[in-house]
Amino acid sequence: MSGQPSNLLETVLRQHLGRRQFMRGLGAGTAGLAAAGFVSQLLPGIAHAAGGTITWAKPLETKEFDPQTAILGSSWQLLHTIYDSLVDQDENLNLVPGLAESWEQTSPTTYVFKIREGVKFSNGREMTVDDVVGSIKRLYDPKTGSYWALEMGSLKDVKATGDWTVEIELEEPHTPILHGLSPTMASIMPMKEIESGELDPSKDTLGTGPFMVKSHSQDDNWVLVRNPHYWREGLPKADELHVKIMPSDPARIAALRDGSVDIASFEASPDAPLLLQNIPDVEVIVEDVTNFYFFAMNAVWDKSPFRNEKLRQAVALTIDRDTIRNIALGGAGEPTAAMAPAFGACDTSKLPYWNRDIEKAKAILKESGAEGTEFELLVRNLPADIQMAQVIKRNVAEIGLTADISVVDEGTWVKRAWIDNPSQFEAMVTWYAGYSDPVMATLWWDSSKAGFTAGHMPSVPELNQLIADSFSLPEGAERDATLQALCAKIDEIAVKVPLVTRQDTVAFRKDKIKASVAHVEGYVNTLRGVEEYTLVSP
Amino acid sequence: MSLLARYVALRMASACLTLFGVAILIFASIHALPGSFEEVLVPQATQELRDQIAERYGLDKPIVEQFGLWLARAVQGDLGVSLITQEPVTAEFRRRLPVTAEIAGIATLIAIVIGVPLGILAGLSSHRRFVPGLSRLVGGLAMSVPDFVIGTVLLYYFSRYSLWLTVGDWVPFAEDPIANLRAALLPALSLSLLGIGLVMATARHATISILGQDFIMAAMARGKTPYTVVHQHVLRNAGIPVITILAIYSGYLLGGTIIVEMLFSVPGIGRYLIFGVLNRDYPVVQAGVLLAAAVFILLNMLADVLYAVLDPRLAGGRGQ
Repeated sequence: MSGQPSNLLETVLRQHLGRRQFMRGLGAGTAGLAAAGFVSQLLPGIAHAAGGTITWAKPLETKEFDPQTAILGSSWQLLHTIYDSLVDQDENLNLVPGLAESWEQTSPTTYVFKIREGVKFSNGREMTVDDVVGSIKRLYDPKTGSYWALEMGSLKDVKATGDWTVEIELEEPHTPILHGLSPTMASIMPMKEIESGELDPSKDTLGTGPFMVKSHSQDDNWVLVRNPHYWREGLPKADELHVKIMPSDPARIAALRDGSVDIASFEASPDAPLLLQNIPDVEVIVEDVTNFYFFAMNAVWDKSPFRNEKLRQAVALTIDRDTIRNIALGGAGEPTAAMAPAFGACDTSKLPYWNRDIEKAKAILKESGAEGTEFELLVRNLPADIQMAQVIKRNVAEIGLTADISVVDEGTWVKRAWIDNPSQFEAMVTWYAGYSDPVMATLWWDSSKAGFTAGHMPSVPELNQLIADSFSLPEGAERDATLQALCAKIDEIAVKVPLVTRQDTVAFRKDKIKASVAHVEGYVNTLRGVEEYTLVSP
Repeated sequence: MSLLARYVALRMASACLTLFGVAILIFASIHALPGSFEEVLVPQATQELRDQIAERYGLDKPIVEQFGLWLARAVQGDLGVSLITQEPVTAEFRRRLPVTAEIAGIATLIAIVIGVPLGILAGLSSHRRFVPGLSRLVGGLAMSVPDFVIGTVLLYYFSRYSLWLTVGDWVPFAEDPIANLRAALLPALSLSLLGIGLVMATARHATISILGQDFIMAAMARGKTPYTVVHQHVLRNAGIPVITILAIYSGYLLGGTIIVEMLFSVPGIGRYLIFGVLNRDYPVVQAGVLLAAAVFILLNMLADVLYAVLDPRLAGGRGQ
């Protein structure tokens, strides 16, 4: 399922300009082009007002304030409105200029960035190349402890080569480096204030993004106000962005209905689209994403039956992704391999264990000698996860296996799934962010690098090599073939079996605001482009 | 009076001991839960980052030392800082306590205003056909339907039909009393249903029991009107069990507010506490449970004092 056009302006712009022109207008070095004036001139008849307050009901609170060490999508969502990165992304995961006006790859391992002049942090201080160089160093520094550094390759050097140019040199080629520099985790930080001790980024925020924090009440609300120094002229259009933390789906729906919020986001709420149906003036968008659910089988723990590869392959062949999508996820999501369909990088018809085949599963199970295996299926207390587990339980029962579903709280799940080594589970259901390049999420299959997976994912040299090659090969036919081979290898070892993409739902009051929700998203930045949202004139 | 003062002093000493026990219990319990603060916060981060976080908040120290440090500060009124926001927990409680108290207060008021008259009416009419069964049915329903079910139904109808009340739009009373009431009524109503059932059933039983007493017959024999009998004898004597049940109900409210605050997005203590538990934000949980225990103990003490006011024989008995 793909996202629907959510914005009349955008639809008309696309019709008038064509996709390429439209994207160029948005990004190619002239980001201010997409500002209100441009749009308004083209569509003078549509009334929308700059200023005012947009209220967003958000299900989960931001628990981390330092964008470079943030690990949760719920934190990225909010921090993305406060911080910027060198590179940005458009609605189709294409890279567009951010704090870097342009860039050039001068060798397989060297990138030179032309830094945008006149950008200021929200305290009014001008961003310099020192902030850029310091931020990149901070991100790679093991003392910072950023998990995102794993996605960034090995840094050889980063230095200012002029007043407004920065050069990043890597130890070895790393094709998705520009994608790595684009999300919230690669934010450019106010290094002068951090180094002087004036700012503690673990509890205070100071960025170059469209909004800045006026007040925050934990687990209750954020009041963000316009960054008066924001570099994109005429943006943000709203004066304030109020964020209400509302964990209950019915409460968010009610608030949307009675108009006390303008936008409500729903994370992995299978019933949300149905519940939101037929609410007057509410537009519902099921966002296309690269994030995906997977079913993990512990191939490391000596108490897990899934150290047996044949057993894992037999289980993989029973998985009914269509039923998972239709029954457990309310029809949202797309059956996926380790690289989401949005990338177009993995042909699932060529994967030996991806397509459901009960007879083949029975034959392989017989070879495994593990008939009648009973195992514990660990899930968090989340409706979508539990419902997926129930479908999987029925699926494996078809070949005579028994899955006992254990629903546990977040802390227990975290400890058993990610902290303990070996991980104390036999099987579980959870999800990974898919990011914006097909190889990025596959890094979590290389337990020699992604230590948090070592408790359940054995290190497979051939697989690790395919991952490394996919990271280092330049774009082109050879990389495409390697990605397909990597996808097939992940399918073959069947430790983490990708299920369905993890769709997010966004609903907004179209009588109150004009909003455009990203069509494809890989970093859970549900409100990417919120700076361009406008209030509809009364 | 001095006897009463001694009694209150003894109760307070006992309350302090109870609170100390609660403090140990909750400290041990929250730390025994699987997944520590730094593990839940950044499960997939490097061990180095988790170690840094643990060190920053003193979570790498032995558990007994952590408890000692926390207790030493707590007795001086410093309940620590939230590990998430690094803001003082006390300030956060000061801001949130009135919200929860208001919801709980309105719920109790609704329970009394509806439950007492209905209960007494049911007690006075117990000889009539259908009344006992009907009152039991209504009371039973009120007590057995869970808060979140009531809350969800109310949420749906009040948002669907724009019936004046709001959801998730909390405004402090001092800022706008009307908007505050519009936001507070739905969660309070959800919470009050159990209270209505409890108070109604208790008042009904008490009324039936009192009506069978000799002094009621004596009062009737003296020619007092039914109104006077109810006003002077029934209401006064039914008050004691109703106060007892309200004290128990207040204990329930401490837990019940957590559910309705989550459901209706009310920025009270309950919501703060539940997020504290989920995030393993130890200072928040420790302070929250301690505060809840203190409130519960205080309300029970208050109930004891009210017994004495309503029935001086009880105060005398205790004094002796």
